[in-house]
Parts: sequence; structure tokens; C-alpha cells
Amino acid sequence: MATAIAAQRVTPSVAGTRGATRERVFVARGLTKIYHTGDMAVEALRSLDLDLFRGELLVLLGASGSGKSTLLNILGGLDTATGGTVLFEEHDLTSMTEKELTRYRREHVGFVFQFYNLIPSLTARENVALVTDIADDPMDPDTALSLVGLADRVDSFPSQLSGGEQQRVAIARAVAKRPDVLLCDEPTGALDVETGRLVLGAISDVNRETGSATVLITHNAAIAGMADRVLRMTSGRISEEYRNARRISPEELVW
Amino acid sequence: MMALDRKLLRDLWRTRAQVASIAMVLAGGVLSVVSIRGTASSLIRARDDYYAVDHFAQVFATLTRAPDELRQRLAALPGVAQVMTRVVKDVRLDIPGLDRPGTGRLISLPTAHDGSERIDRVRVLRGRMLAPDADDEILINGRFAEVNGLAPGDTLTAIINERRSVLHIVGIGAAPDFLYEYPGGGPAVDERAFGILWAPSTLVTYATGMRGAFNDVAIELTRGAREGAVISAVDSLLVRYGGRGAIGRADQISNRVVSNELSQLSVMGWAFPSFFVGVAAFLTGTVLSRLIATEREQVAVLKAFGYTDGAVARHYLAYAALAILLGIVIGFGLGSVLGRLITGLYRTFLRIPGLHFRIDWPAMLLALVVLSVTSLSGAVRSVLGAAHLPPADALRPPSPTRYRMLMLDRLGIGAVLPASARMVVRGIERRPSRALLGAAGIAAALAMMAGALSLFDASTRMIDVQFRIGHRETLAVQLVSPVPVAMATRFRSLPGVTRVELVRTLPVRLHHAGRARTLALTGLERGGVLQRLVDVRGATRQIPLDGITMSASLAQALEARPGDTVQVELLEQLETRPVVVAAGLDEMTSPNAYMELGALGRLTGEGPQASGAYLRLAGAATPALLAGLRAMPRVVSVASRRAMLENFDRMMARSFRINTTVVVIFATVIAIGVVYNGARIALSERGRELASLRVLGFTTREVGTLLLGEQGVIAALALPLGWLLGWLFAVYLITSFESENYQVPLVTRAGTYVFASVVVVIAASLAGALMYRRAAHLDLVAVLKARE
Repeated sequence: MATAIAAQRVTPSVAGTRGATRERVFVARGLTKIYHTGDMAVEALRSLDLDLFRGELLVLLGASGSGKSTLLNILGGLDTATGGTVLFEEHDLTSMTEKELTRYRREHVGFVFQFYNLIPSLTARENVALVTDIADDPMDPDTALSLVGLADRVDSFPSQLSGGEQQRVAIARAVAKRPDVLLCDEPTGALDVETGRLVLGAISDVNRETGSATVLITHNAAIAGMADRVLRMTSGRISEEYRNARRISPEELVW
Repeated sequence: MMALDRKLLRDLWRTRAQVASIAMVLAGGVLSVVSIRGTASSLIRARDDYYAVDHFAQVFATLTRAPDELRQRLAALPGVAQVMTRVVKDVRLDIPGLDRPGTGRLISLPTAHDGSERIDRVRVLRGRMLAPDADDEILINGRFAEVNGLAPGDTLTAIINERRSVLHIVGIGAAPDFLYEYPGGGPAVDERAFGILWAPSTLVTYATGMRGAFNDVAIELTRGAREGAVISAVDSLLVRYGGRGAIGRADQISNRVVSNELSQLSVMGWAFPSFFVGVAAFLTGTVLSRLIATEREQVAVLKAFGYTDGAVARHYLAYAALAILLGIVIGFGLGSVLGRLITGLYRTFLRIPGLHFRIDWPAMLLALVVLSVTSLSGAVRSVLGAAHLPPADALRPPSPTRYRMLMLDRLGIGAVLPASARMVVRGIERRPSRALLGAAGIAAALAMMAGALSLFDASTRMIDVQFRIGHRETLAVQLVSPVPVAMATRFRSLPGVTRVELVRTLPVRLHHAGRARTLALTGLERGGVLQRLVDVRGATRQIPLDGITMSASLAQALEARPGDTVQVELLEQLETRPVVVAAGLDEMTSPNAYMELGALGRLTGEGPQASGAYLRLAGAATPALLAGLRAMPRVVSVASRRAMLENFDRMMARSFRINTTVVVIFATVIAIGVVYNGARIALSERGRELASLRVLGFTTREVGTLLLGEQGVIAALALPLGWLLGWLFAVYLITSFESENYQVPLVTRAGTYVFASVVVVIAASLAGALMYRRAAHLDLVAVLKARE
């Protein structure tokens, strides 16, 4: 399996050269999010500014409760901000209706969940097809699965796949529609180190291959090395931001 | 309050929609037992009580005329406890506001004071009893009073001995031998034109010229007496006096109608609740079991905190028990209300004094045990399963459910279906028993409706065959006594009459192979079009010029085949003559026997005679025609076929409306319960899956289709299954209504099945729509974090 991924990696990327075009995918300004739970108001995001560029791989670090998931949910059109604006290619997400948000997710966003969330009654290929069936210019499901090194498991059901394999199917499903943004929430959270590396390798590869702007949430600082840029969040604000001089291959990550 | 109890209450509140749907289905089961079973048993009990209290006789006989002294000899027969004799005579009535002549059945009140006067006792419901010395006072029956707006204090004019007599109504009466006031001969009573008049014997003997004589006998038997033996003894005693053959209760006309009605109600009273309780029990069992299965994680948490298996099991069983209890309480309350309503409706048709709604407790208890045991056992299975799970296992996310390539895929059809359809089909193929049970539930709802409504199709068919194909007259005229055919031709000269067909009926007893049956032998005109022989399928038959034609069931009872010779005992002439069986006729009602009018005249030796006539008119009955009929003193009654049919249709329509409403409500509750719970369970099991799809960009509609697709397929499978079950249910109901005298046709009308299917589909869609709204509000953010 590792060889399959390595084989993928030698293919030179086209669009994925680190922020080469510097084209902004997201522009967030003064983003705030307040949750009301009973009499308590929790400020999950406090006037946050963020730009995300095409082809960029951004790692978002932070402890639980730091607001990173809230930010991801807003970028993914799953949640709406209390204040501020988020522009996705000139479209303001904050003013979209539920229907428009669904369309936005359908056409532009790829999600990878911590717990894979595959449909157990569908095979790997069918899980990917589920998304390509409703996308405009999708990849062939088999191509997407080869991209994550699962060309030989296309007819397996989720129950016949290991955790890492399931997560890679999830990645294939997320990227098959050629999304503009790929959002990954703790994609290795449920995996052991070795499998985690394989999965991160797959994410890194598809980022290079497809040029999707990729946001990866983790509380594991060791993963930051594979990013173009790293943001650390604390109490709803960006507390630290830095650029890696070079992206470390996930295989070399140690944690 | 312990924390666990608080959790129990909150869980009940949180899942209130589901608890409500369980309770509703259970309530339906309880409701059907309380209302339908209760109505059936209340009516049967009220009838039995009434028969006992007012001494409904056990043997009945009518005769031409016998001296009062004969009463002592009848009373002395072995097995006879009491004998009541009286005079009964039909007289013509002029009813205010009614254009056609009406018929009054004049019945003398007994004068003896030896206890026999209690037999078939006449109760005064309103007004007062006849004054001892009055000779122009009468009591009339309640229905006749109501439909004609008559009350104590009003008068009626009767033609007695060809003279008009004014009778004073002093009260409204009721007697067990006229519980249903039916003169026979039509599909229903021509209510306005037929009344029972209880009168002093002085008046009735004057009307009949029967001083010191009687023509009607009612007998109460001693305990343990054999009815058949008494009937034979009575017959041999009355034979010299023109006895028409004694009968038991089973053949007494009012009792026969009432018994038929009650036995049908009784069948429904068992079939319906059994059906409903069965479905309710199955549904609540599975729903509770699945509901608790989704609580896996909570069970694990409770156990991790140190709650024992027993405490956990008790907690969930209490949840189930409260849902069940709620259903029982609701069902009981609504059932009592509905039962009172249905019983009230029966009261307008069967005026049984002392009828009030009572719950059938033994049946109720049985239903409660069945419902509680099956519902709880579903819960127990799940609770034990969850309680036995080690906490760590329960806390771990359940591994993806195992799916395989199934039949669909092996057949190669899978490839052409979109992924969503594959999800639906694999879901069903993976749990075929669940899908089958769901389909069975919906099919049961459909079957219940189709089966019950088929009965109405059958009744309508019976009336169509007998009174729209068999009978086609405008008016049926009955004469006081038979007249030669030549005299009867006077009807032809009445204004507006386009066709006259004569009929003769006479009481006979047929003997063959050592068996005998008493019945009315009917003489018909050959080539007649107003009254025709018609078989169970509605095909008409020509009456043979010679010999006797009889109901197939009668021929069977007498072991007589065409060509055999049966002995006809002419009860009015005290003579017995042989006649050859010409044919058997497969009829809906029996026993009947027919002969051609001329052949009958040869048999009696009296020549062709008529005791009545069927008239066809050019249009509606004109005053001139009715005046002409009234001017004929021998005419005792004129019945309008249309009035009877309208009355029947009205009764039928009312009964149809009530029954349809009841079955539609029951079936809707079942169908909604099955679909709503099926989708609810699917949503709780697959909510995360569906929310993930929403995150991936699936629209609410697409996700809703996935959720409801499975229920839709199940409902589609349920339709043909429901048609089959409905047909079987109809066959069962019809078979259980059949008797020697009554053959119900099985009518399978597409409209009935379409109606039942539409109701089920609407109910299922309604439940689906409710679930769809929930699916539209899935928590998308939660999917990214927590697992279930």
C-alpha cells in the first residue's frame, strides 16, 4: 500500500505549487460567533481575520474549545457567523440561505470527518459515486480511489475495510468532485500513527494533485510540518501564524 | 425523585412523538375491543335479558282457527310449561299522510290470568296500558309511531270487517316477538306502512269473528324439554285446525332477523379486535425493542457508573410500561365513548329495552394480557441484550454494519441503479424480516378495510339480485284470502297499471326421505317478468310448467333430487299430495319452493288462485289508482318496492358510513403507526449517515427520499399483500355468516380495494411527511464531532 502512495507522489503536481497563484479562495473579516447556551454566552470566534489561497494546505492547531471547529463549520457552510463576513470567491457565505449553503457545499466543498462517515450499505466505489452522481465535473470514482491508493478495494464494503482504508475512501469521496476547498476535521483522530501517516499522505497528495485549498484541523502539533501555513487558535482568536519553509512529507512526521 | 426516575420522565418527554405513536396504535387495539366487542356483547346480553324478563316464547304456531278449549290440551303436552293463545290478523290502515294503504297487524292481548299472559309480554314504553273495558284502544310499536308522527292521544282508521273503525292510540308498546317489526317479504320494512297494533281481545275477535277461538299460539317450555318433540306434538294437535306448522325460536321471523344481525356483529366483534390487537401487539413490540436498541450508549454509561443490569433493565421496562399504560388509558377512554355511540346507533334499529353499553370484561382482560405481554416482551429482549453488553463494548462506536453484495447485485441489476436506490434495496435485503413485518402491518390495515367493506358489497349485491333482478314490480298487493284468478284480473282495469302478475302463497310442509320442512310454497306465472326465479349469480330461470322447484339447500336438507317425488302437506287443507321435483335453485335466501300457478291449482284441486298480485305502473302511483285499491276490501296491504328499497338503501348507507368511518380510522392509525415508526427507527439508526450526506451537499429532498425510499418500497410491497389478505378476510367473514337459510355471495369489487389502498397510501404519506420534516432538521455540525 505504501508503494501505491509513493507511486502517486512521484507524479509532479501542476496546480499545487504552494500558493503559486496567490488567488484567494476565502476572505474572512471580523468573524465572530457567539453561542447562547441558557443564560451563558460563549464567544467561540472573536473578530477573526483569515485569507485562504488556492492550492494552499493550511493546518489549524488548537486545544479543544479554541474555536477551530467553529471556524471550519462556518467555512464549510454548516454554520453561520454571528458577525463579520466570509467571502468565498466573491460570494458572501454569511448572507446565504440554507438552500444556497447546500448548493455551495455540493459544488465547492469536500469534507473529511474524524469518523469517516461512510455509508455502510454502499461499496467503496459506490460511496464515491454517491458524490460524483450529483457533481458537475467529477472524477471517475475509480480514479479518485486510485488517488488514495485503494484501486484494488473498490468493491469492498466499509465493514470489510480497516479504519485507515475507510478514511481514505472518505478522502476519495471528498475530492472526487474536484472541490475548491477540502475541509478535514481531525482526520487522523481515530487512527493509529502508522495509518494516520498514510491518510495524511493521501490528503497531501490530493492537495497537490487537485489544487484544492485544504484546511486540516488537528490538536496534534506534530502534523503542522506538512502544511504550507500553520495557524494556532486560542480562545477564538488566531494566536500564532507561521509559514513552513518546506512541506515535510507526512511519512517523515513523528509523533 | 431519583436521578434515574427523572431521566425516565425526560426520556418519555424527549421521545414523546414516538411514545404517542406507540400509544396510539395500542390505544387502537384497546379501543376496538372496548367498542366493537363491547357493543356486540352488550346487544347480545340485552337481548337475552329482555327475552328472559319478558318471557319470549320458545315454540310458535299459527293456525286457521281452534276453540279456546284446545289451550288446555296444548298446556298438557309434555315439555310445555305455559301456553299463550291469541288472535292475530292483518287489517288495512289509513295512515294520515300516507297515500298507499298501510297494514296493521292486530294482535289480541291475552285475557287469561294464569301466568301465561306473561309470555311475549307487551311492555308499555310510553302512555298507558289499555283500559280493561275499552274496546277501541290500541298500543302501537315505537318505530311505526315515530315515522308516522303518531303519539298517545292520536287515532288511526282501520278497515275492519269492511267497515272503517277509529282506534285510539293510548300507548307505545314493545314485545319480544316483535323486537324487529318485520312482516317478511321485502328487503326491509316499509316502515311507514306496517304497524303492530296490540288491541283488546273483544276488538280483535269482532274483527275476525273468532269469539271463543284463537289462531296464534306461543309456548314456553319446561327446563330440559326437547323443542323438536314439542313441535311435533303441537303439530299433531293443531293439524285438524289448520296448523301451519309450529316453529322454534330459530325460525321466528323477528328473532331470526335479530339473531342474524347479532351473529354478524359478534363475528365482527371478534375478528376486528383480534386483527387490531394482533397488529398493535406486533408493532409496539418491535418499536419498543428498536427504540431501546438505539439507547445502547446510555445503557453503557449507566453500567459504567455502577448501575446493575437489573436496575438498567427496570429503567427501560418502566419506559415501555408507561408507554403501554398510556395507550391503554387512551384506548379505554375513547373506546367507551365510541362504544356508546355505536350502541346508540344500533338502538335506532334494534329497540331492545334496557340496552346500554357495557364493556366485555373477559375479552378486555384477554386483550390487555396479549397486548402487555407481546409489547413488553419486545422491550425485554432489547433491554436484556443491552444490559448484558460490557460497558466498554457499548461505548465503542458500533463498527459499520455488515453489508454484502446481494441478489440484486448478483443479478447485475445493481449496476444500473443510482447509488441511492442501491442503499434502499440493500437496506431491505439486509433485513428482510423487518421489511416483511412492516409490509405485513400496512397490508393488515389495508386488508381490514377491504375485508370489512366487502361485506357491504355483498349485501348490496344480495339486495340487487333479489329485489332488482328477481322483483321488478312497482306495487305488491296482498289479499285477505285467495281468490280465483279470474277475479284477480280486476287489477288490470285500475288506472295506470300496465302489467299484472298473480301470485299465490300457501303454507306447506314438504316430506321426503323421512325429513320434513315447513315453508311457504309460492305459485308464479310462467313467463312472468315482475317476479322471477333468480340464482345466486343473478341469472334468471323460467318456472317449469310441472313439478316443484326448490332452493338447493332445501333440496339437500330433504335429500331430494330432480325427478324424485316429494309429499306436499297442504296445511290449510289437511291433505298431502305427491309432486315431482323439477329443479333445484341455488338461491341466496332459503328455504323456498315454487310452482307454476296452474300446476299449483291442480295440486290443491282448487284451480288457479291468487293470494296477491304484482303491479307494474306506467309511472308513479296516482291517487286514482290508490283510491281504486282502497276501494277493494280484499286488499290487505300494498307495498311499494321502491319505498322498501329506499328504506334499505338508507339503512345501508347509514351503516356503511359508520362502519367505513370506523375502519378507516383504525386502518389509518395502523398505517401511520407502521410507517412513522419504521421511518423514525430508520432515522435514529441512520441519522448520522443522512446528516453526513447533507454535509456532503445532498439536499433535504434527496436525503428525505433516501429515508423514506425504504418505507415507500415497503408500502408498495404491502399493497398486493394487502389485497390478498383482504380477500381472504372477506372470504372468512362471509363464510362465517353463512347458514342453511342464508348464502352470502363473495363480491370482490375493484372500487373497494382501490379505496382501501388509497386510504393506506394517504396515511403512509402523512406519516412520511411527518418524518420528512424531522429529516430536514438534522444537526449537521454534530456529525463532525460526536459519534452516536
